[in-house]
Amino acid sequence: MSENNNEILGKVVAECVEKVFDAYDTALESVDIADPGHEVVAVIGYAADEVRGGLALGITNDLAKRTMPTPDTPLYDWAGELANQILGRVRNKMLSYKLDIQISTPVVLHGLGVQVAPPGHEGVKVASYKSGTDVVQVLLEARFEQGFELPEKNEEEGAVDEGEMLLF
Amino acid sequence: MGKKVLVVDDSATVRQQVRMVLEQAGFTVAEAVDGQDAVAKVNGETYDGVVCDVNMPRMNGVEFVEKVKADAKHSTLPILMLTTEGAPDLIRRAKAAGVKGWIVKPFKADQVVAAITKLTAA
Repeated sequence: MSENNNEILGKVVAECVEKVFDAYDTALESVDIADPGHEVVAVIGYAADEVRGGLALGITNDLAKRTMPTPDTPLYDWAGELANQILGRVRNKMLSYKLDIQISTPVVLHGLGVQVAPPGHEGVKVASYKSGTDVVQVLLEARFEQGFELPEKNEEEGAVDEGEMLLF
Repeated sequence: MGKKVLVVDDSATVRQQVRMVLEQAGFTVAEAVDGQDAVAKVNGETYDGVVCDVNMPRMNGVEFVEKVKADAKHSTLPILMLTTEGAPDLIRRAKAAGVKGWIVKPFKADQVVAAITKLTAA
């Protein structure tokens, strides 16, 4: 991924992670921290003509529970939906850069100390956050077609905003 | 008994969240886990409205709308999409297929209630 693509996508993902958690009354603080291992990791793949990759959300059971809008649905289901809402928001924002990614449905892994460790090649961004004592990590892998550069942002090409309602 | 609404989403959490919101507003709620399940349910029972996600396995929400609206007996069934998707092209496609409303997640309870109340009153 070129520096330009990397920077743009990194900023968009960071913004989307914070906004989604904020929608569930959870403020995140960006931190520089080694991967502590997670109890739940939700993974979603995505693809477009110009790029393909995946997003992984690592979260603790406690934080997932704190953000859950319902009392008794499975935690893994909610972790998958959180990842879906983050990547869905990323998809909507990237439409302003004429990048139309299609996203798959989430897969959720449970365990003790599950790490979202980057595979060590270009095109991988890991962002870490804290909420209280809980750590959230988001890994986004993006493999752009060689030579592809994201165009300038064009707000007029953007998506309907999150939380907006349209009636026809 | 309140008006009957089918909630279609592959996330159990979202289905329960929407169920709680609509039941508090006096609606009766049934659930479907994806587009295929929803097709079977609307063909097997009468609903006053549908709240439907887009990205789901087996059959997505827009495909569900296109399939259901191709059947004349469902031409007046109001469908509200509740999804992370906000792409104008997709919204245009769904609108052309017969969708009557679109809300981009995360959503507020009063939005969903207001929208489905209006759509099922028509």
